[in-house]
Amino acid sequence: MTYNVKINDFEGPIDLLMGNVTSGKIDVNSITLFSLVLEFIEAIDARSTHPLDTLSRFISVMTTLLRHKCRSMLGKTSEEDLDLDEISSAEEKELLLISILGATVFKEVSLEIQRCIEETSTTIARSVGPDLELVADIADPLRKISPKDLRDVFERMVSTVEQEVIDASHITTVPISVREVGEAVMGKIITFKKVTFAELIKFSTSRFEVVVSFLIILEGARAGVLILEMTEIDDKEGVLVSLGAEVSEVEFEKFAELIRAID
Amino acid sequence: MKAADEMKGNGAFGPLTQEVVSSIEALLVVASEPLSASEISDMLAVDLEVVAESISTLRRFYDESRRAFYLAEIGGGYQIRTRPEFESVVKRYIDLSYKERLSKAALEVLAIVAYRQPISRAQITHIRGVNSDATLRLLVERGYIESKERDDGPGKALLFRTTRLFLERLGLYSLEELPPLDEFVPDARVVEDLEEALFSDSSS
Repeated sequence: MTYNVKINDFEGPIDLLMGNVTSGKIDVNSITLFSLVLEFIEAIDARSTHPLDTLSRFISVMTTLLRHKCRSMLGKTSEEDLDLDEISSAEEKELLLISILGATVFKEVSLEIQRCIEETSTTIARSVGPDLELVADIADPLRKISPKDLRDVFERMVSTVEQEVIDASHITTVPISVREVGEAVMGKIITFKKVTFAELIKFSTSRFEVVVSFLIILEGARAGVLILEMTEIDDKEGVLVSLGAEVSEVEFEKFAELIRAID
Repeated sequence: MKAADEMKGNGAFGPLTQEVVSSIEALLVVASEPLSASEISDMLAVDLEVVAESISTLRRFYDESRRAFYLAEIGGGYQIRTRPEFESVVKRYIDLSYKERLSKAALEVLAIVAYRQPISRAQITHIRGVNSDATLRLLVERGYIESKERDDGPGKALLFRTTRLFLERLGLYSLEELPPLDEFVPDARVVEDLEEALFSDSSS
């Protein structure tokens, strides 16, 4: 994109202005560079976008105009040679020379480093565990873990709070197998002969099981298979359940069948 | 007095030194990396001077008894290493073929970091005149250099330094053992030739 300027009698692209100045058609001293810059700033402020090529071209032209103006103001007879091209070139070459020398030095140093590495590799360190190259290749699992992270994880592990489980027992009927409860109760009575009611329901998981167990021993007492008596255990009153003294195995098995039949 | 006598407790340091010498030897035998004098001093609860004397005794003992290994001062510490003359024998047992060689570019970048550390990526590229990002990554991966700090200036550029592994690989105790840089500066004639070539280029 071309930037047009309007200055003195000239109006047109800035490149044409520079061409006229270079060819001597326009006296550079008649141009106020400051006003050109102000106009340019106003122009770019008025735009929503600033094309990079226009900006850079303007700066380039202004630099050249400034140089021309400086040379013109100093005059051709001036003893001071203001050949910016030459100065810039000389500086660049100095820098290039320094840069090449620096790179050369480090190239030489790199050879010395290589020599040192080769010399050292002729001796082998006593090694314990994996070789350092191998260790370097293994990703460190704790790399981004701080001691605080480790502590937090440890605390979470040791302070696990048991989640409260809300079951549906208070709103729905929990199915109880009378047969299973009966067999458990009968099994304990046959094994221990005499057992407290507390012992019988020790591993019951719900109130329904307790109720079923109680009904079974009540039924057993009514049928004359079981004997229930109040007793004192550890200063507490309890019910002692025992097999009837004159109950035969056949009679007990009949009762057991009855319980199973309920299921 | 021979180091062996000192080891037996007949030396000027007495039985305490013998115990310290043996303890240091035990540590060096199990250490996978060079152990510094201060680390040894802390572990054995003895003065640094005692550690230095004991190390010296141990080193002389290995030399005098013509052991196949020696006590190297390397990577800021001490390490038991096989002697160079046994290289061929040891390498029959240990396969070192996997040990990668560094490219010329990597060695150049390593040299720049070694002498100009801490140094930023841009500064390295400026010195070399070519982009060195990939080479830097490679050297970091291999553990020769690391970047743990940032420049205070604009952009907070990462700054690179050599690591302890770099010293170990070069067989150096510290960076101070690096040869002075001026030893590698080309002589005046080379500089003049280069200068002449550059300026004659411009005049032609």
